[in-house]
Amino acid sequence: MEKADHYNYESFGQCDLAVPDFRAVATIGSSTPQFTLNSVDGGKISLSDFVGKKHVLLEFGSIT
Amino acid sequence: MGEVPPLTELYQKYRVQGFEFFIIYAREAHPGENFPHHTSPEQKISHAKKLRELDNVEIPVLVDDIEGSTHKAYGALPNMVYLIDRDGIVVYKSDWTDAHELEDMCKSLVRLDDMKKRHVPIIRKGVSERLHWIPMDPHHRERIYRRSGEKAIRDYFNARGHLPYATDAEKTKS
Repeated sequence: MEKADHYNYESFGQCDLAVPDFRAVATIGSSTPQFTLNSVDGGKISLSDFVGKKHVLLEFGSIT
Repeated sequence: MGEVPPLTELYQKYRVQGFEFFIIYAREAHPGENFPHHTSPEQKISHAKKLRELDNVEIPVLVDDIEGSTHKAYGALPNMVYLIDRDGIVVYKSDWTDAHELEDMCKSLVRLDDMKKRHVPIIRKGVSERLHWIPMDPHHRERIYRRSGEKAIRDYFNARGHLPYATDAEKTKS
């Protein structure tokens, strides 16, 4: 398994820019990978909370 | 981050039509003096709060774990976006947040909801693929890199041989 400190690279140059996985994971028409994450507002949100209820849009991002 | 204002507009428009939007705060794409790489869950949460402040984000922000488990499960790109229907199925994924494309897809889901309501028969789920062209806004990029710090700009220059906010003409000058 990849170590956390490799994932959280210190400098942009250490980032492996060839990410072949994007089109291979969480593919169109398949069930989404599940998650339960902390909200910055407090509390936890699970993707499964919305099944049968809402469409969900996820945007991944960072400050930089 | 992609541009926040267009996504906020979509959020305001579609949250009342059966959608939930979330921003998932992932690793820092361009760590610098002001926003270094994550070393603890607490620091990651405090950066996520800062993101919300800096970009006036209205959309709820979730924080991935320090190992990036969710980020990796979805492909680990810095600005990717997914749309998931009510059945928990991925109906749209993109390596970049393009508000126009997203709006088209939100409209498709609204149409689907309407078809279901009216019991319109559906033959099958079809698939389309497309390319898109990511515009380069030097001012936006310069702002993002500067708020990270000189280190982020230096690191980019060392990796790519030009400034992150160089225009095409400037990239080939040297």
